[in-house]
Parts: sequence; structure tokens; C-alpha cells
Amino acid sequence: MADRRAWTRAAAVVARGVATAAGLLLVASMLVFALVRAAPGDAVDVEFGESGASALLSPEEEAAARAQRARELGLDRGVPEQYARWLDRVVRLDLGTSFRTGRPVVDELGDRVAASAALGGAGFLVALGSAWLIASLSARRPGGPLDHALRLLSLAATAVPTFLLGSLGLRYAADWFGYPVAGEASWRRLWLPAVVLGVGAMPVVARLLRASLISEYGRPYALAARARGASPARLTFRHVMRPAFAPLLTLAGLTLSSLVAASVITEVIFSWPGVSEYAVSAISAKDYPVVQAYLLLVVAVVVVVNRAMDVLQHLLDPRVAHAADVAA
Amino acid sequence: MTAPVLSVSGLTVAYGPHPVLDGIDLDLVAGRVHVVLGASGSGKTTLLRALIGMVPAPGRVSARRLLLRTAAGEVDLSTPDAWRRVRGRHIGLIAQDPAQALTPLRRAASLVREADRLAGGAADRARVEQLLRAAGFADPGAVASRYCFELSGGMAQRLGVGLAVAPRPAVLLADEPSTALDGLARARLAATLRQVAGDGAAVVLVTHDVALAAGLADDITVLHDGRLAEAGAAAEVLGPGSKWMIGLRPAAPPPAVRSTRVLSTRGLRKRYRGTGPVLTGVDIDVADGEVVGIAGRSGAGKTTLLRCLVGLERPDGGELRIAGRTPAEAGWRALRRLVQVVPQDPRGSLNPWRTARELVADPLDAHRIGTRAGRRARADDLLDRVGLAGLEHRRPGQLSTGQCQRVAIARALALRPRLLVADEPVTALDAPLRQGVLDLLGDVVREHGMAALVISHDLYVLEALCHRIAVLDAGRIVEDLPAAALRDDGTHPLTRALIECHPTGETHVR
Amino acid sequence: MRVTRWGTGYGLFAVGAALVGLMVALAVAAPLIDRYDPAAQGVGPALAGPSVEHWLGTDRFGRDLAARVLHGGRTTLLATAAALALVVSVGTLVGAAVAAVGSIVDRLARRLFDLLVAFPVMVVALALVGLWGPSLATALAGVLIVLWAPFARLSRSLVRTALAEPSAVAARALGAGRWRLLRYEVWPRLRGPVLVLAAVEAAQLIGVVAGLSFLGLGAQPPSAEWGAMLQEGRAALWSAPHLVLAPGIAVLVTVLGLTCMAEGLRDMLDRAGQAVPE
Repeated sequence: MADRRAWTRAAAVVARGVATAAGLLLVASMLVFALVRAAPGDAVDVEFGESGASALLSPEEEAAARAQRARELGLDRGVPEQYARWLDRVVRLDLGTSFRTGRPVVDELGDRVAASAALGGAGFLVALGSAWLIASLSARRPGGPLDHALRLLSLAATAVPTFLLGSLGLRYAADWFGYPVAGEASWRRLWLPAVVLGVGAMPVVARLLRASLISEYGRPYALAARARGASPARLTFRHVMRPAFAPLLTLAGLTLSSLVAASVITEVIFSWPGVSEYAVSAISAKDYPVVQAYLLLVVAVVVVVNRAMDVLQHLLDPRVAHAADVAA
Repeated sequence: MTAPVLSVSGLTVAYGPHPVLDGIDLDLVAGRVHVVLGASGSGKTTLLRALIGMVPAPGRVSARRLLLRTAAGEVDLSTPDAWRRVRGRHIGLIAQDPAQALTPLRRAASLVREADRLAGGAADRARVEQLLRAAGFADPGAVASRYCFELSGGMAQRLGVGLAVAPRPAVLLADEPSTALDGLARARLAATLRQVAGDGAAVVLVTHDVALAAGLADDITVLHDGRLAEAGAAAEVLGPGSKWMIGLRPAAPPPAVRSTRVLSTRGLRKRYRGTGPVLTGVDIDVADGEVVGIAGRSGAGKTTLLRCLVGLERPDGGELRIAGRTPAEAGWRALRRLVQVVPQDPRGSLNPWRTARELVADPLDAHRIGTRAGRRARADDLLDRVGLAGLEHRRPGQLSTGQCQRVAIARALALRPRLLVADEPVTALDAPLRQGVLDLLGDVVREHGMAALVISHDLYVLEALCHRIAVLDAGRIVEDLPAAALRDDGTHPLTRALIECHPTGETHVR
Repeated sequence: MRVTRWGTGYGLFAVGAALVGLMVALAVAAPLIDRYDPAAQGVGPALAGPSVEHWLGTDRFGRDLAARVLHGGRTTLLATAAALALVVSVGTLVGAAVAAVGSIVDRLARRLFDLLVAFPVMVVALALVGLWGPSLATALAGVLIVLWAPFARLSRSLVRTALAEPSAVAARALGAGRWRLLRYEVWPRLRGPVLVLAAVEAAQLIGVVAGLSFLGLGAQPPSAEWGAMLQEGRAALWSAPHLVLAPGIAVLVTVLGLTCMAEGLRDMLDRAGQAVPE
């Protein structure tokens, strides 16, 4: 009976997560649309080239062709209708074709998603692993010498810019470890950019995890568990861990956005064939459809992952759902 | 006399250069309840932690002797390893706030199973069920799969006690339930401890409440500033003429109560979104110069009522009149000059960035009364009146909790209101400070001839201040009698329960 | 006796402030202490390493790197300060206003803030540069579009909790009006956390703008600006790493200073029992 109740609650949590995600995606799409529309030049300019004069057409013919194309694209309609048409195309994944390659943008980016995901995932693991290590060492003796030393390490990691760590890492890793500077995406090439990514995202996670651990260790229930004879390991893994970790899931969602930001630089420096590297090269080539698709992709991923983490937190820590029920 | 189960001598604990506990001797005997009495800051919490080997990190513990006698022989408790072996199994702890002391994200059965396994039990399904039954759960199946954070206060207390006594420890330590909890929780704990002692354990209860100690203790140790102030059999320590006993002050002589009404409510109702109704129709009248008490358990709606009376919350229905006018007619800004509040949490309710003088002058500033210099002079007069002369420039962080409450009282008097509303005025204070603040409140009310409404869960507080006491339950007044007649004539079950938790002739530590 | 924070925070804050102050002072005093014209080519051999004449070496046009780093700080720090002042004031005001209005506006705004805070600043700036064309102003604009949101979110929640504090409730019950509440109850609880966030976001802003410039999407050569210098240096990473190192370390020191300030302030707030923002 209790299981049944747990399942319906879980289903409700997931359903609510999906609904919020859908709403947020809609709002996000409006923001992206506004950003794209506010850019100088419209879709017609983009197709015909910004300079205007096309070699094959006289100025009059070109003006007529432009007007024709603008009608086709619906640019003479009101803004809401334009948005609706644009959203319709986005939902059908019709994001235009790349100027450079002539292939649909969706396919171009699709080929590179796996490489980006691998790098991001590896970076996340590095960040989480090192943060866990640092936080649990620090939380043993808060205010002790080890705690202070690890804090300085975290401060340094926050301060060092990704581009500096990345380019110097690349520069010297090649000499010292024989790191392959160029080449296909491979496991041998993954570790260095993953470390660079992870170092940037680690300090925030470590600080929160440390504070969370210390505060949970100090709670009456941890005291009571020790008084009942729980060993340090049992205390950590069976009592404190779950409450300490649950609030960090929301943070993991935020870590994602800092990972994405750092991955832009990292992918370029290490010539990692991911979506960000592709987007940066598209910017230099004024390949607008790619830029727009890239922005949409990242925003969608960020929104979905954040919502997913929220749902996961509700499932892992039923107190959150409980509190939400009471507050509603 | 049988050999003590746990004997401690020369126990000293220090966090910094000065010891928090200094040379404590203690012998705990099976079957007896040993109460450790002390005000906050006396070192009683540290003693409790030392008796289970869990003094927090920078603390240093030393003792001439720390000896536990078990069936298997004597155990010297001078090393962390020794403590680890006896903790839970031979020495158990009942924590202060049971709801906070259970791992929130574990299920009840899982904690019971763990406790049994740590004590060397079978930890199977039947055993868990048996232990839950023993803890007082008539239907173990219903509670077993619940998360601990879902348990009610009463259930959490039963489970917490059950977990501690399950391994049948030779010594059971209990931290008293915090005073903010209502008296019923304390009564339940007292009964449980009696029973555990009856089953042959040595029980230690740490508290600052002499009334609780007098009703329960076989032996008493009084701690003062980390030293043993007094120790012996309960009858000796708390006997007649003991310096730890003081009679409860008789109720204040009634000042002239006039017939005009300063406050009157009819059918006041309030509910918050998503919860049941909090106020279901409250009728109260307070005449000018009259002191009325509202008693009730936590959750009865006391705080919501107060918020409605001072305009922090808009009632859903019913009528509220202050000095004959409704808020709609007069506007809250004008009415607030007539009604002032002494809040529950004296430290929290004072802005930490402002000085005592600024705080007391604040209502005058807000209502722009008099000149700036005049307001400052009035603030200094008021601080003088509440016994804080010379402390005008202190901020709340530099004042004790008792002093903060005096600032709050001075501030409430600044506008010369016709009605003073006090919300649990002494709950946040240590017992020794309470009488002083209660005296002050009684005196200023009499001097100014103002009316007062005092809200509290503590019947003693109300009896010391009020002419009339109303009992609030489930959002309604269920009893409304002159203070002197309440004990004899109160008939409502809740009134009786309150009286039982506050027996006459009991005492407070001064 | 729990210690969740490390020290009093004053020391750390002082170190951070000293580092930031040093960078600002160097930038301000650049014309007085430079030994070469930052734009003059051929004042030394091309791509020379650090030496007595050229402390940080020279770039491929033989320009003095030390002078360029000094002068570059002027543009970078000024642009950062201006951008920061804008997002702090706009964000804080919007958040406070939303909290004051309350009800449905407040709930919707909270959703919007949460959404914007989750947006990766770097990517939005990148997209804006992609659509408008690379320049320092565009890169900054891209950052500003989303960077006000964290301030709005913070100030919204701080104002709400401040108004629910017992002392604010007590002040209301005593008859304090809106402005008194704002002045005595809200503002003291708002200023510290906002300052922490400002230091954190300033560090992020400098990092993102420098990163974009490093990719060639921010400040453009030949201006003496840290980001632009990074971009020039990137091309010569293998032969002359000091070209990246010099402006890179300037960025690092500034960001380190801001981070230390934020951490020190966090410790102070924590000791004072105030809200500590992430």
C-alpha cells in the first residue's frame, strides 16, 4: 500500500517536472526568438547576402525577389504570427541549412552532440569526484590545517581562467605526457580537456558539499545515531550521505551551465569536434542558422537537465515534495 | 547500597583554557533516576556528552576514573575505542528533540533494525515488529515503512525512546525535552523514564526544571558554573528550606478594571491556504486596565490570533474592534498607537544594527511624535525604567537575552498604548531570569493602568500576571474564567490537562 | 559548536581587496609607469622573452608587452566596472520591486529569474556575437542580457526573507511604514549578500569576456586590451607562450582578488548570521 502511494507520488512529481519544463522551454524559445529577430538584418538579408547586390539580378529584380521571399517566410505578418511560424519550424527541427556545407543544420550539430556529451560528462565526473574528495576531507576537521589548505586549492581553481589552464595544459602536456595535440576524438585525447573542464566546475560543488556535510554531521539525528553506536562509516553512508547530497542536485544543474560555458573554450583549444567548437567556427563564417540552432540546443539542454535534477531531488528527498505539498 | 553501574570521579572537560566542567563526581546506581539540575551555561549539556563519550572536537576530557560495570566485567572508558564498544549497547541516549533526532530519510523499521543489529540482536522482521510494539506502537505495520520525517511529534518520541532502550542499556541518559514543547511531552517522558528505571537501568535526566526534577528524582546533582554545587538524595537537596526552592509568586493584586472595552472580537476566523482553519470563531473582550491570559498548546492558534489582533494578518471573517473602532474605520496606522506588542523572540525581534536607544525611540520616530531630542530623552527614560540605564548605546548583540526582552518591553511602552499584547514573554528566557521579567511586566502594566493580553502555553506565567484566563483550543476559546477560579472551576478537558502539567506548590529555579 | 566557515574572513577579504586594488592602481597609473608606448611597434625585437629592457617581453610586432598589459587593464577594468554597475543596480531594483509587489507577479518573475540564471552566460554572449558580429561591446551586451538575473533573484529572496524576519514583523506591528522597513530592516540585510554576488559575477564577467576575446570574438586587435592580446598570443602559443601568459596572469590576479573578496565577505556574513549567497 505504501509502495502504491510512493509510485503515484513519483508519477505526479515527474508529470509536474515535464509540465514545468514545457512551460520554461516555451518562454525560453520566446527569448531566443527575440534575440534572433533583434539581430541586424532579417532572414532575407541572410539568404541574399548582406552586401545586397547579387551578381545575377538587377537591383529591381532583386528587390522583387526579396519581397517575394519575405512573403514566403511570412516576414510581412505580425510578430506573434511570425513567432508561431518560427516555433512551428523549430518544433519540426527545420532549422535551415548551413551556408558553408549546405547540409541541414540539425544533421551537422547532431553529428557532434556525442563528442560534446562525452567531454561534458567526463568533465562533470572529474568535478564531482574531486569535489567529493575535497569536501569529505575538509569536513572531517572543519577549520583544521587540511581544511584551510584545500580551501586555498579551491580558490586557486576558481581563479585560474579556463583559457589559460587549457592553452598552457595543451602546450606542456604535449611535451611532458606525449599528449596528442591533434586528431580524432578519442579516449586518449579526452582526459586533458575533461580535467580542464572539471577544475573549473569543482570549487562551487566542493564548497556546497562541504557546508552540507558539516551541517548534517552536526544535526541531532547524527548525534543520536552515534549515541546508538553507529561507526563513522555507517554514520556517513547510512545516515548523513543522502540528506547531504539531495540539495546538491539542483546545484548539479547549475554546474551544467558553467560546464557548457567552459566547454566552449575547451573544445576550441583542444580542437575537440563538439557542438561548441562548430558554433565558434560558424560565427567566423557568418553561418547564422548554425548559431541560432546552437543557442536553441544549449538552452533546451540546460532547461531539461535542470528540471530533471529537480525531479530527481524530489524523488531522492521526499521532504522536498512534502514541503511543497504543505506550502501549496 | 549496590555498586554503581557507572562511576565517574574528577571529570574535567575544557574547550579552551577554562574548563567547562571541573572535577565532577557522579555514581549511577541501577534502578534509580538521577537528575542533573542546572541553568543554561552550567555545563549540563557537556556533562551529558561526556557521559556518552561524545564531547565535540576541540574539547579535552580527563577523569581520575570512568568505570562502567557490565555483566561481563568492568570497562575502563578512558579511550575512544572503549567508548565505541559500549555506546548504544550499554549506555543509551534519549535526545532533546525527538523529531530532530531521527535520520529524516530513513524509514522507521530500518532504524530499528540497525539499532538491533548494533546491539547484537537478530534484526529480522519479527524482531523489528516486536521492538516497535515494545516502543508503544500498537500497529507496527503502519509505522514501519514511514520516513522518520513523516512521523508526528508523539510518534517520533516513542520511536526515539524505543531505539535507545531496545538494547536494554545499563545506563540511559535523557536530555529533557526543550521547554518550548508543551507539557504533555514532558509528562510522557517522565513516565517512560520511571518505567525504564523500574526495569533496572540507571537513568540520568538532565534538566533545568526543578518541578520536573522534584517529581521524578531519586538522587539529584546540581551543577553551577561547571562545578558540583550540591548532590544527594532528592529529599535532601529539594527539602524544605532548600535554597533551590522558592514559592511561586502570588498573583498580582488586581488594579482598577474600568468598564470601557479596549479590545473586543466576535467570531474571528482565519485559515491559511492549504491547511485547516486556524481560528474558528474567537470571542474575546479586554477591558481597560484588565490583564487577560490566553492559554493553549502549540498549534492551538495562539500566534495567528495575535497576528490578527495587531494587523499583521487579515482575518477571514468576524469582527475586531479596538477602542470601539474597527480597523476599516480607523485604519491600522492609528490603531497601532493604541496596541503594542512584546514579541516572543526578544533577540530576533530587535534589529541587530540599531542601538537600544534607537530601538526604543523607533515607534516614536515612525509616528513622528515630538521633537528628535524629546524622543531620545523619552527613550532614555524608558530604558531607565526597565533597568537598562547606561546601556543606550549597546546593540542587541551586546545585550543578554533578558536585557533584549527589557528593551522590547520599553519599546512597546514608548507610545503609551492602551493595550499591550505579550506573546510568550518569558519562554525564550532561562528560568532564573523569568521572574524578573514577569515582575517588570506586571509592574509597568499596573503603573500605566493599561490593559494587557498575555499569550502563553505556561499556566504559571499566566497565573502570575492575569486577572482572567481564557483557554484556546482548535481555534476557539473553550474556557474563560477569572484566574483565581480556573483551577477549581475549569471543566474543559484541555484545561484539566493544562492544570495537571502545572501542579500547584511546584517551584522554579531562581 | 559547528564551524562551517574558515576564519573571520577579514584577512581573506583584505588580501583580495589588495590584489584588485593593485590591478586598478596599475591601470590608473599606466601612463606614469610605462616605459614604452603600448602601440609603438619595433621598440624591441619581435617575440622576445622577458628581459631587463622588456620585463614581460615583446609581441610579434616588437611592441612592449608590459606597457600593453598595463594599458590593457584600463579598457578591461573600466568596461567591467561599468557593466557590473549596470547589472547590479538593475537586477537588485527589479528583484526588490517584484518582492514588494508579490502575488502572481512575484511567482512568475521567480520562474523567469530561475530560467535566466540557468542560461550559460558564455553561450548567450557567443550567440549575440554570432548574430551581431564580434566586438567588445557586443560581447559585453551578451553577458549583460543574462547577468542581471542572479541579482534580481537574490534581491527578491532577500527582501522577502527580510520582511519575514521577527524584527521586521515587530517593526510593522509597532507602526513602521514602508520606507522605514526598507531603510532599517531590508537594506542592512541586502547590502552584504549583494556585494558578495557582485564580486563573484565581476570575476565571471572578466573571465567570460576574456575567454570570448581569446577566441577572437570579443575585443579586436590591435587595441591594447587583455582579451585582444590573448587572441594575438594564441596564434603564437607554441613559439612564445609568454604572449598568452602575460595578459592571462593579469586576468588571473584580478579574478583571484575578486574571488578572495567574495570568500572573505562570505565568512563575515556567515559569522554575522546573515544570508550567504552562492
